[in-house]
Amino acid sequence: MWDSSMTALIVQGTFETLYMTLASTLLAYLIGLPMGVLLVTSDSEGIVPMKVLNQVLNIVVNITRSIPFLILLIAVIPLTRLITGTTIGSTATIVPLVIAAAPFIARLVESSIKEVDYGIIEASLSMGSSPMQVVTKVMIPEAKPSLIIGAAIATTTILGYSAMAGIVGGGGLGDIAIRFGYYRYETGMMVITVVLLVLIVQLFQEVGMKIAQKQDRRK
Amino acid sequence: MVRCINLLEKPTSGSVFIDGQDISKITEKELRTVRYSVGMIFQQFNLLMQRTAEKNILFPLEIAGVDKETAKKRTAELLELVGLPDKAKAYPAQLSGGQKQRIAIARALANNPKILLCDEATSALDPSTTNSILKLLKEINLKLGITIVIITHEMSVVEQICSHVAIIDKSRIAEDGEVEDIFRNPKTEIAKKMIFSEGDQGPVAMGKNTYRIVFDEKSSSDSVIAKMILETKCLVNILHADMKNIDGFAFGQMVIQLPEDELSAARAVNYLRSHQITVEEVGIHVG
Repeated sequence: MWDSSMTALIVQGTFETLYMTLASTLLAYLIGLPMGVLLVTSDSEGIVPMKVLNQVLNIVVNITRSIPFLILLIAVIPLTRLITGTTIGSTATIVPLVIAAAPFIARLVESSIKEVDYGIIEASLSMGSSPMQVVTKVMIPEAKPSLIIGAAIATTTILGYSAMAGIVGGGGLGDIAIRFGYYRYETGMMVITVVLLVLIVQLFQEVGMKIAQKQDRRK
Repeated sequence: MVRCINLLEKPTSGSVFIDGQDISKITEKELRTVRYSVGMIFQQFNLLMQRTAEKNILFPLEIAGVDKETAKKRTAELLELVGLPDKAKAYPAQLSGGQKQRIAIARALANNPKILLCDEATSALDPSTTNSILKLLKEINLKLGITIVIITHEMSVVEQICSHVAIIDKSRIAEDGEVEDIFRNPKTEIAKKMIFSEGDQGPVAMGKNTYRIVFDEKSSSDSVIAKMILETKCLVNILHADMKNIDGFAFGQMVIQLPEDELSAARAVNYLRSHQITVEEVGIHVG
């Protein structure tokens, strides 16, 4: 039962998983990073308090975060079709992944930025920084190590979600695991995909931690 | 308190004037420009931890949009001024408290401010580092002609480098004026408390006929008390004595107890007064 076509399948699955994970992470950050920053700055204690915006953001984030991914995956199918023209395959999976990951990333970013000592922000305000300068020159650079660790966590979480997408034909290693391991009882295939997923998670986590440590000038 | 001066904290009422301009009435954008010319240093230094010392000094220049060449030159000058040219590439975490405050001072001076605000700038430092930072501030004040506003609870800081002082008690200015005058002759309770409790326990036992006498730059070099005892034959009990150096002038105060015998006590007081020395009867407790 083991032949070269199986190997090809696994290699393809691995690439699909990496593609889904990295593309989704990147797109989710494009949305989540500004959201996270706004959550901090618009807070009543923030540098530009905006009560309504802050409340709306918090509600949106909390609602999206509380929907189980599997339900979200199915619920956004019409939107997925609208954007990608299809509902199966790894590109289609990116849509629900981004929707699920962006609010999660917003929370990660929010907590990273909140770690920055307010004294430093106050000092930069005392030097005449505009709110935008505070964000780009103080908040994000000062929170960099923590943001990188957050990114590693986000990537591995998205990787986990992407495997779940296999249930609706989302492609990638999760898809293979479900099709062969679950539906056909091919335990060997299941083990291989799981081991690969574990290795990829380890890799992202390790690389993320190493970069964060190297970037941290606080010690 | 000091945050009100550059409106980091908006006062609930009243106005803030800098160079005749009411900065509580201008726009955010104009306020930022005003802030370029008001440097500020903090108790906790508040340096950017992810930037080197050099990049920290560069920061306000980046904010103000100074071109790179000029900014680089200015940074080198400032590192020289605060005496840390060899620490340019060090991160704040690698510097000592005193060095961090020096970098913070350099950073605050980057945009050639007219005013430097110090918010308890030496409170987190040990006494000898405090001294060296105060010396640096004084040098900056004299050399660059920058007005320095210091908020502190340490009267020794005021004594060492200030020319004017305002003592604030329960959110109101209790007393203000030249440091020399206030230290010589504090009028309000709070000022007395702050000045006399400085560094020691103050006079402990206070009986009847206790007087506080204050010397100025002339009388402090004269052995007035010894002469008074010889001339008036009045026995004096010294309860407390303290000499300070304020702005280069010797200044001292002493608490003495005179004999119960009112006549000889009055003689002693008169003798001192005739030698231009401030004498006042003290209540039960000053310290």
